Amino acid sequence: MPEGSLLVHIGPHKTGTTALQAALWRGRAALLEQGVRHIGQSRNPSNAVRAVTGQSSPYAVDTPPAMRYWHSLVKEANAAHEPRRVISSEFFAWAKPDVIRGIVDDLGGERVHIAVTLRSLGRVMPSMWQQNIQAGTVAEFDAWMRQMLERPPDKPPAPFWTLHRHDQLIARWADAVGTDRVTVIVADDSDHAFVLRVFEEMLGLRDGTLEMHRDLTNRSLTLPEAEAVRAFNVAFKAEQLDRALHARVMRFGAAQLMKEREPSPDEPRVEMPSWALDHVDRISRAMVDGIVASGVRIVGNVERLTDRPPSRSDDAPGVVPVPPSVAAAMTMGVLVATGATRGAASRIGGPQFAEPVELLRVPTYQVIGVVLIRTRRSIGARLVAIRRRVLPKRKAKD
Amino acid sequence: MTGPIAEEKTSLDPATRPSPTSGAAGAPPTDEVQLPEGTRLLHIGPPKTGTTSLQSALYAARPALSRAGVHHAGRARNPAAAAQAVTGRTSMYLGGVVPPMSRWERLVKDVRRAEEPRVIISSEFFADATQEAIRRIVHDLDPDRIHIAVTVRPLASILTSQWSQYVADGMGAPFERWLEATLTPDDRRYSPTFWVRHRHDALVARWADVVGPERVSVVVVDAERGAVLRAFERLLGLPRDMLVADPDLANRSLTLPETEAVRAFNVQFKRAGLPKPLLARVMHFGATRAMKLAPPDPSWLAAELPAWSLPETRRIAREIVDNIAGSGVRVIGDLESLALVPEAPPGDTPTADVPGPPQIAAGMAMGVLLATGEARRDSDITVETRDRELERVPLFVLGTAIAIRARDAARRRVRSLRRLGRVS
Repeated sequence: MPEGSLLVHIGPHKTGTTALQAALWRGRAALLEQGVRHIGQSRNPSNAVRAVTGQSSPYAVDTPPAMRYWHSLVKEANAAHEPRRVISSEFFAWAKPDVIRGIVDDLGGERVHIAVTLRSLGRVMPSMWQQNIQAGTVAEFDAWMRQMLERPPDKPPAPFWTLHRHDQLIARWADAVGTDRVTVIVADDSDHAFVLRVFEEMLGLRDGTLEMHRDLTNRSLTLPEAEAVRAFNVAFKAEQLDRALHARVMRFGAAQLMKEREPSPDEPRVEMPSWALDHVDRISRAMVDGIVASGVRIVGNVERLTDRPPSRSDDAPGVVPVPPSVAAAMTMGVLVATGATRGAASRIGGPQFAEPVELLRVPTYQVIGVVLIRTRRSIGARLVAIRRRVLPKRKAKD
Repeated sequence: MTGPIAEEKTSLDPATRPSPTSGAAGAPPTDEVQLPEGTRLLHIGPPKTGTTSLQSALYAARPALSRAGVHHAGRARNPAAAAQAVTGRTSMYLGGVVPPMSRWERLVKDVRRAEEPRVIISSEFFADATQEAIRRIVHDLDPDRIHIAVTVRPLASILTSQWSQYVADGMGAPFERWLEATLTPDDRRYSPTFWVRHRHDALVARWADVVGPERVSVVVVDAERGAVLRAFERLLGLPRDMLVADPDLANRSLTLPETEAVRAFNVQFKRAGLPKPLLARVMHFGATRAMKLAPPDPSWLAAELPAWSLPETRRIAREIVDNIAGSGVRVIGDLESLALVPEAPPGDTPTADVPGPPQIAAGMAMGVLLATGEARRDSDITVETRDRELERVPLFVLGTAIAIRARDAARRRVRSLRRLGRVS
């Protein structure tokens, strides 16, 4: 990449983006020494990119973050005077063609280079499903797979394909910046550092500047974990609680904290039913052909994108047995995420009042309301009783 | 005031108050089981013998009981704090503190003030009383008027359900390790109170020694639902079926997969070094109670006694039955059924780390979320509807809840202000 360029990594999701972003973030100082600035106030400037692509905030329904996040990211990118700059956020992948043109203009037009990381569809699909589960969805894996693969042609494609119809994703960005400024990097599941090496090369960094960190919390949920979270989502929906609470206690709370447990090697993973393999093969083939024909630069073995994932029989797995340690880790995660354990130690010995189960869902103002109507009713009853007792006496006196 | 409590108060009319002695000397009871007027019936449990179901039936029927001449003592379903105060037992509510004796005195006052001919006091925490505490209780409730009811269940099912209850109370020991320690004489590693409560012959003897065997009734808990309620109706001279069990309040035992999920949580909780009162609040009083409200799937089983434990269990159960039979106390129900011990499950059925369906994990996590107060939800339910929903919750509990919520909110604010102070 020539000096002055800005490398924009657009994901998409589930292609090893977190590992890359973590390496860029941890290596910030080393990057600057070598003339490369990692743009953004965090590993992944998701608020800014969600704002510009119109993706809703995880804490709200249908409300993207404010555009000021994007404006300040643009400002930071354009003010940087390092020879090379890099921004990485998978949320760019959501951008529609007109938004893409806006993004490219904001970031300096000609100087923008696009990097797309890709992983085989067979690997991405189970991974994406469990990611959706963490975000609060309730569809079973097989049902979700059918929704993705057997959608009637008269219906618009599922949002999933905006991200993972990789050939179309690449074409949208190539249309805006030109095929010569798009690089596709095929991730290698047997060599996780491969993507880091490619980014080092593109950014002109010394070999080894970007380091792979073993981060337990960046793993996918196992099948029992995902099913436990899915059952929680069902219960959460039934309680009619809001999305912000789910984001706080589950998505960014328990779902993350439960990944700190190390699942045993025989704990089942989310595997694709074999009926889906042919569908997936067909789509993968079409995508690879499209990408190769588009003329963009491809790094890595593009044929890997048609690899078949490990699969299981077509019988739906039914009720998945959840080990007690999974149930415990999820519950502990919820408890920690509510903040109830903060400062709990300082309250040792203080009286704990456990509310009756009936009260747990009732907001305080309504409890006060019930106390008021009961008091009023009981005063009324007492007045009636007094009147009854007093009136006959009066009559007797008369 | 709530309905039932208001009823109780209005009936305090001195004109209807019977003299305490007139009852005892009144007409002979029609049912040989029925206790004479003037009796104060003290039901001492022990735990896991259907006490919650009986107590909630008594509580729900309070107005009718009062009209039928029976006063159910205490402000709530179960006067636990009073029983804990007089037996010197710590309360999980109070974070391991013995409630003040004034709680017991208040209950005694309530019993003495009752003008109904019969009084029923029911709390399984009385089962923990030592000889000395028993003497005090009997003295305070009048030795000439007291009668003791003990509900008893087969030892085999007590072992499994009491283990599961100990886990719900915070214990981390797996079933077989706990069982082995419990069946080993003098090994009181896990639950020192187990045999105090569940050596039912000794429990009966402790009370019979003080009040006399003729003043003790043993009620055998039957597989048939409602048998205990029928027995108490007879003891108290109530019309049949006046006491109705509320399935919501049956305080069922957790099944094995549920217990194992809770146990795994207890273990993680302790490992994290978090304080016990918080565990009691979110798990014992929170999640497990919410979990018990959901009917268990028939495929979730309870723990079963393994083959190695059967001979010792049979021996103890036999002794219990023989000793009760020889003690001269009254027995309602089939005493022999207490000695039954089911066969062991076939093969090597695991009792630890048993997986369960996802909804057990979900129910537990949701229960904890509810217990933290984070899931209070605004809705368009009117206060009148809420009042009906909260019918079972006495007014004083609502008042306490408001006070504690205000206190916790204030504490949170103070804590964050302090933190700010430390930062600046």
